[in-house]
Amino acid sequence: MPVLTLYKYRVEELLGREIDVDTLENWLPWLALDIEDKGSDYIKIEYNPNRPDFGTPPGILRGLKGIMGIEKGPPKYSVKESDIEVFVDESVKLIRPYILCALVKGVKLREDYLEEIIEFQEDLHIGIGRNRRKMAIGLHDADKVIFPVRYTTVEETFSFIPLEYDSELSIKEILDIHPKGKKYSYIYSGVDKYPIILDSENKVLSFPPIINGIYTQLTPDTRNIFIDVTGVDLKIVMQTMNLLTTTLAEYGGEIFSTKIIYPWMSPIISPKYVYNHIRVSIPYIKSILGLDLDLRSILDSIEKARLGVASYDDNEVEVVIPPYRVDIMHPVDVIEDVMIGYGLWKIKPIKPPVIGMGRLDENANFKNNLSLIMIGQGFQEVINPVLTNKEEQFNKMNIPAENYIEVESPKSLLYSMLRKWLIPRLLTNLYRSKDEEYPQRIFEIGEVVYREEGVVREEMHLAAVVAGIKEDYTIIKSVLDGFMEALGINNYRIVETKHPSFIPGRVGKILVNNVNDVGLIGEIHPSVILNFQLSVPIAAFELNIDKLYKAKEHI
Amino acid sequence: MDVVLSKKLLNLLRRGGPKELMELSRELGVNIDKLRGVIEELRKREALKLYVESLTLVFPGEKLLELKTLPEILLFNELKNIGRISLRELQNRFSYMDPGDIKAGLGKLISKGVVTIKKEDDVNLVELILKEPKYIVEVEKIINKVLNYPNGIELGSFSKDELNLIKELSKRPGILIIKEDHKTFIRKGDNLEQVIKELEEEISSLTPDIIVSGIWKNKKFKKYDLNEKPFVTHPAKLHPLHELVNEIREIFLSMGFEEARGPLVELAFVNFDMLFQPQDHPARDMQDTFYIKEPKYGKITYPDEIVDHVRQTHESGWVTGSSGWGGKWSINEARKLLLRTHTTAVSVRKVYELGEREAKIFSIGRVFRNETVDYKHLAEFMQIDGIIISKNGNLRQLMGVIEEFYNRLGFKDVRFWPSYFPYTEPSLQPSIYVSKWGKWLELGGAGIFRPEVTYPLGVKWPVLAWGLGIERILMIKYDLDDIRVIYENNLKWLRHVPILR
Repeated sequence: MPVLTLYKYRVEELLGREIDVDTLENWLPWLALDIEDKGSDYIKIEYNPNRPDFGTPPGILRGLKGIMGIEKGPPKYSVKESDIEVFVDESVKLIRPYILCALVKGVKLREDYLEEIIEFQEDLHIGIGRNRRKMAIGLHDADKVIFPVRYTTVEETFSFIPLEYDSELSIKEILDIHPKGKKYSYIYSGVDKYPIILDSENKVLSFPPIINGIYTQLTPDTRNIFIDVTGVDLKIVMQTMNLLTTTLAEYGGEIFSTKIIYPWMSPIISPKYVYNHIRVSIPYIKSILGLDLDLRSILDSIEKARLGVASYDDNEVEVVIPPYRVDIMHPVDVIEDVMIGYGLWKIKPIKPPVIGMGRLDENANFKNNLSLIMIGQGFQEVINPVLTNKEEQFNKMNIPAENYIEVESPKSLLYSMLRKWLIPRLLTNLYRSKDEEYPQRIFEIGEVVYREEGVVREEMHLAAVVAGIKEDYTIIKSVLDGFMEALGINNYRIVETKHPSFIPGRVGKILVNNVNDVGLIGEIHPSVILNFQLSVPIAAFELNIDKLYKAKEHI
Repeated sequence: MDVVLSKKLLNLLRRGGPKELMELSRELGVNIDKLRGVIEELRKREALKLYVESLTLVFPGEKLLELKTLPEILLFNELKNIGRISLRELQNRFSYMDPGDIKAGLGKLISKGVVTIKKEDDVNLVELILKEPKYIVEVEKIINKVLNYPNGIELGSFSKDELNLIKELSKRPGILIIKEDHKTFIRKGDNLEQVIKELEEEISSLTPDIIVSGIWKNKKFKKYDLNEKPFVTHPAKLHPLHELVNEIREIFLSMGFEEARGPLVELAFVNFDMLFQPQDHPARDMQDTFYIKEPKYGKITYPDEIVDHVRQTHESGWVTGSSGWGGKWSINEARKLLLRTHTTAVSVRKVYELGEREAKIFSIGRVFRNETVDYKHLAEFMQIDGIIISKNGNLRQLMGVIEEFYNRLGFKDVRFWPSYFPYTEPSLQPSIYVSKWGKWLELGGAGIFRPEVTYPLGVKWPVLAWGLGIERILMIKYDLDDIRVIYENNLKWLRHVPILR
């Protein structure tokens, strides 16, 4: 989640009065903001991805003033018209089809403002821009641009001076060596033409969404900003434009629209602030919140959440949504705002009526009972991750790697597949406990996953190992006998088998009712013991307890 | 066991040689059966040994027992005082005796030259010749000795002369009987000193012997140092996480919830699409979610109609009243197999399965995130999810049930802040007060499922939901500062970690 540092002086500047950090710390969580950290003169917050409008201090203050009752209802933003035109070339259509632009005049770009805005831009890129793939923003010093502007494509040999460089690079070079180019080049893999924004003198404003040209770079002296937002989803591009320009308006900017001329559709005047209306049923609000609010408090709460009320009656309220609120999709979203505007601290929990009969899962109960039997035999329970790796599951166990389930792009190769059996990790547990007193007896009950005929299978297994100088097959067999007896399973036997993890002649399959192969028992092969850097005799068994559960049903 | 008697017996044996059983019984003044019992106990402890010897014994005969002496002695004693007496008179004085015995006795006295019979005036007179006859002295000694041993006395204890007399006497009916017999002898055993010591000392280790024999009745128990740490044991236990899972299951059960389960390998459709997570949501990236390499796709087993409603809801909101996410919804994206990222996947399966039916469901299970593992983060952890499907469900009830749940887990203070989750609205962030740390801690997430989630599954009722990763609770309860400890299973930790409840 995006993070933002809110300085006391900025809050006071925007609030128009003094406020201490502790008071701020008490208020902010009621806006669904998470306090990450605080100091004597700042507070660090995390905001949720559904509210990108909280990405700047003025954005947060909009909300804060609302719940504090200082300002209510939706802020009014207006757009003046400019004669700026942006021409879109047909060639961008299949690559990055949409562009919207705007002009913001009279912004004083104090150094801290500039930092805030750039950080906001980055948060938008990552969040609703999905790492610039869906949408990206370019900010330019408008006074350096000779209008009109063109949004078109160029070849990879086309070159200009990008930000962070002082000489020209070709598009190809940017993608290959420029830090931003390397980071985002995947967006254009398999493309032979690249979108570019040029002014009427062919100066490069931007190579969206990779990097801007140095020519129109913002400086603290910049007063007028030209904005481009490009992307693959017009709705997102529009939302971003609204978010950005209404926020810049909070910095004192005057917003001017531009006209975007598309060859394949009618021109778009951008930005255009639409205050959408949504109808919300009053009984719905009351029933979801479980609060018998009177109409007046509902309306007041809506306005404290910086939404507006267009009309209302006893049954329904027509709510006005300011253009920066991109999260409201459904009346239920307004209900949450009623909750926030009303103040969640005022809403008290009630005990729900008891409905439903409690019931535990039978399988989980069975698992529990098996644990008790094993504990009764002196085995300590362990719980290991299901995620593991080939080295442990197969290589160290002297068996071939087959029919296992791997995961895509794991952050660590130690967690690259799902365990097929439990014993290998139990041996790792023994390795980790090497310095502990022997004998060591541990067991685990848990899921294993594998592939069978192209389908994923999940099973519940139980494995037990004994390790120590006097531990051997007879010990583990007696444990198995005790275990089976406790389960009331008498008709089982061990049939010798071959398994490279175990000593030949001391390993067998466990058959119940002569047919059900429910598991494996044996003495671990010395080479396996050494693979796990251990040096004591180890014996083990592993059972499929799903099969055991079924076998038990037949008794 | 009679400790006093045992001690007496053993001391006796310690001082002297072997003792015959009967003799001992007499010496110690105890009933033979009781003595036998004590001897048997001590024999087991090897404090003494028994052996049996074959003996020739002489017993008093019936007559002897009756007379307590011999007729000749009686006669002699009578004559000693009077010197001489008529036979008739003598017979009269001993008329209580069998005349045969008188005759035999007299005969013996005559043959041993103690008396003689003279005829004077046709009266037979019996006259004492020897005032202190050796025979009488010797015979009397023998008789008295024999009478002292009604159970027989060994022939070996007599002198050669005595033996001749005994032989003589045994020929007479009812006087002395000689027969072969066995006698039990007792002598000290190898452990005599040890056992005496034990009997004298306090009881240290209680043994079956001590319990059964009753030794403990007459002895004190040695006092132990009750705080001694003799050796370390490692009681096998459930893993603390399992313990916590069970505690949570019981809490849910007590609150009327029913347990549900679902697969670890889940369809993106269930894990994300049914939960109205847009297909280009960053959480769906491989960066965050583990997708299965092979098989890459699974089969969506939900009816086509449901799949289509989910699609329409994503694209345009369908009939839910939502605007939807826009764009095209891809079934291929939905068919992808992944490791479930939350147990809400189990919950949403249940919502579909149950439909509009009042229900309270919970699930506990592993969930997976493609995270870099460090002291705070795991790639795989245990999550719980609870839902309430209820016609009149509301936010305050949700707060109430979560508050109750956390209370029962031991967290008395619970509060809620607004929050955001893609599939709930309104959304809540529950926090608990950890008194030992003196601070509030965010724990889990909650909210009411969006209509975009429930409507396509045929449920218009509110579905209250909350979930949390439970390792966090374990960390609070055990003051852990590294989450990885939980899954490392080092016996050093597992053997020494106390149980939770």
